[in-house]
Amino acid sequence: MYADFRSLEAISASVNIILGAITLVLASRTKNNAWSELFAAKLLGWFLIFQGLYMFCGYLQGYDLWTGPSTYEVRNTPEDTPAFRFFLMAENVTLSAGIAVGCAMCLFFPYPFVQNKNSEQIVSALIVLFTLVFSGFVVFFPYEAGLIRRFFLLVPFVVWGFVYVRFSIKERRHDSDGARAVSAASGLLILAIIGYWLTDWLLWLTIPEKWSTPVWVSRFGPGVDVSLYLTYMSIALGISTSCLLAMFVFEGLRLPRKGNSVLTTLVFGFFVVGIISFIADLSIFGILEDCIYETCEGLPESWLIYNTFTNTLAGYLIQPIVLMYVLLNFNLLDSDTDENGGYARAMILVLVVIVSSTLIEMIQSIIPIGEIITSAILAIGIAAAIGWEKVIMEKFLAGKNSTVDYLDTIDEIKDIVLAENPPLSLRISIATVFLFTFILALLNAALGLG
Amino acid sequence: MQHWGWGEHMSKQESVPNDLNPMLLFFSDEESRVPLVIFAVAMLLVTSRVFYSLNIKDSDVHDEVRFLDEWSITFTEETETSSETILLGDGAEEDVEFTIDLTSFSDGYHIGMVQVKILYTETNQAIGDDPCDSVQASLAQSSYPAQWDYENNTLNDGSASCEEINLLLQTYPGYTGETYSRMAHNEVIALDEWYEEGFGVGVLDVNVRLDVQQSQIPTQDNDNDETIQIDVTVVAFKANAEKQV
Repeated sequence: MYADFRSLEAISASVNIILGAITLVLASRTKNNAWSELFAAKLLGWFLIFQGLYMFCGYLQGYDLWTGPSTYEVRNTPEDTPAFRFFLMAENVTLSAGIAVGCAMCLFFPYPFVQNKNSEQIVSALIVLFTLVFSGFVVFFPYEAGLIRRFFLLVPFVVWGFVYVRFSIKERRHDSDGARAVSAASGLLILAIIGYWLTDWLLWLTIPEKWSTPVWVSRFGPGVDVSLYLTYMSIALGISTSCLLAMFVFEGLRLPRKGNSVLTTLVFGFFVVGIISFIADLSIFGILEDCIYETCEGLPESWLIYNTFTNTLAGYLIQPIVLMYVLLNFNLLDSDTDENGGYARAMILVLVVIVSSTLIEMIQSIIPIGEIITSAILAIGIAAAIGWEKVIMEKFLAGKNSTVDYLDTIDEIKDIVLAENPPLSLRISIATVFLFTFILALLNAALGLG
Repeated sequence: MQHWGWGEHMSKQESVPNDLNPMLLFFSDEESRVPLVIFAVAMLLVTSRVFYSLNIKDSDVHDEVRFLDEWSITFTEETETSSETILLGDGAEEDVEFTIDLTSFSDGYHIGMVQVKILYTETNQAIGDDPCDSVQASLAQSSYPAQWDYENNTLNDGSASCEEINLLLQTYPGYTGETYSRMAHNEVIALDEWYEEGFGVGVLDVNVRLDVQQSQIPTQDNDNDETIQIDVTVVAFKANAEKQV
């Protein structure tokens, strides 16, 4: 049953790439939004595409589905073929690019920390530089450079965490919906991008070593400094758990006054899932301890299925849904015009259909329901999605907010006149990254770099 | 020139006079300064807590899961012998069954090998000595769970000089009883090849055939049969691992 979930990575990759492409099309048609929001939308679009390519390259390498730690070599490592090396290098470069774009994104949305008429050029140059430097270093120092690169991935969450706290306070003190728009956007971005760490937040806060030693540490050979990896994971889990707890506190205080919201629902959802996951994790600690002191042959299938429905889904399917919500609901894209509205509706429908069909297939793999029944349910779901497309769209766009409008009222944003046809635009920067990815992947396939 | 948005706010341009200001503005906001500091401290504390758990608390166990240790594997043995005595006529052949199980051994023991000893003497008294009878013995390959193809087995042998006949059958794969060293993460893994159940438990057939040798001196009494004793010694073992410093 668990083996049926092998394709989730590929499905998520496709969803990310499709969403990214539609976002970029919509961004190119958006004329009336603030430059920082539009630039953030473009960055988010490229982030989705790089994320999708990264996942797809990982999927195409053909690794077995993870089944937990094992004393013996029970997994087949893929054969070292030119195709494998090609996708391995493409995965490396797209990860670098994705991290660079993610770091850039947090400087513009929801709070524009960089307000400069040359912002786009500066950021575009940094994206290329970061991608080239780290992709190159990772070829020769895969472990150290790979980890240092991942440290940069944490920057956005620290930034968004601070933005969330500051504007939650502002909302509380001034009863301001605008401040809520900024804090909600920050919170949603945190949950979207690191939701998969938050499904086990209580474990990270209490006894993370029960998991880390048998699962993470055991993968490292004698010649590797494991403390660097554990330091990275400590910071990553510390930041993500702190952000979730802060959101839980502020959303809990806000709920009686302002009622429910998408962010509140998600925060409470993750909070509860973290507690349930902790109980589920307790059931496998015996097995994990055996992995240290005795022998082990992976984790029970029931636990792996539970983990897929929480942790994996948060990373693979909830992420694109929430990012799409942020794109449409926080005025990053102009979806009001008829033509853009059509693209936005297509984006929602594509996502709803892919996610619902994936979920139905997943449920079918663990509950013995006939294929005819699930096909019928899926058909009903698609018909409902098309039939109520307008209602779904309206719900999605209800209470559309602009963070820039609010920041303007508190004098924290300046009007910027951007240079037309700048010498280094995001487009040129991304084209360079793609060219670099292709050349490096080809070289690795042919020569085996590093 | 391309202009994106809020031209109506041009008059507020002066409020953000340089590029560093947004960052300074963000953190200099008095009403949120204390909550931001509290959040930063909380983040630091949570991160420190996780860091302690991951990096420090279990650091000695990290070596346990990462590094291979050298283990010396030794065996303690227990043996159990059962005997059967049969009377065979000249040219006769008999299969003698021995039922082997673990009931007489301590817990945790496995059957490593079976040694079979065939004993007989020439019982006929004759002048100038009656020559010893000829005895052939073999372990008949059957469903008895053992390593029938092991090259050091002695599955058949014979004697015509009243010497004891020794047969040997390895039951547990690889078991010789000799000490050896192995690299492994822990004791259980070091001993993992010695946990399998079922080997050597079952019915073992020992086939014995007798050919009586007649005295060369006529008029002497000749016997037509012989008494043969079959001893089956079951060697059970328990593996022990000791970490080499």
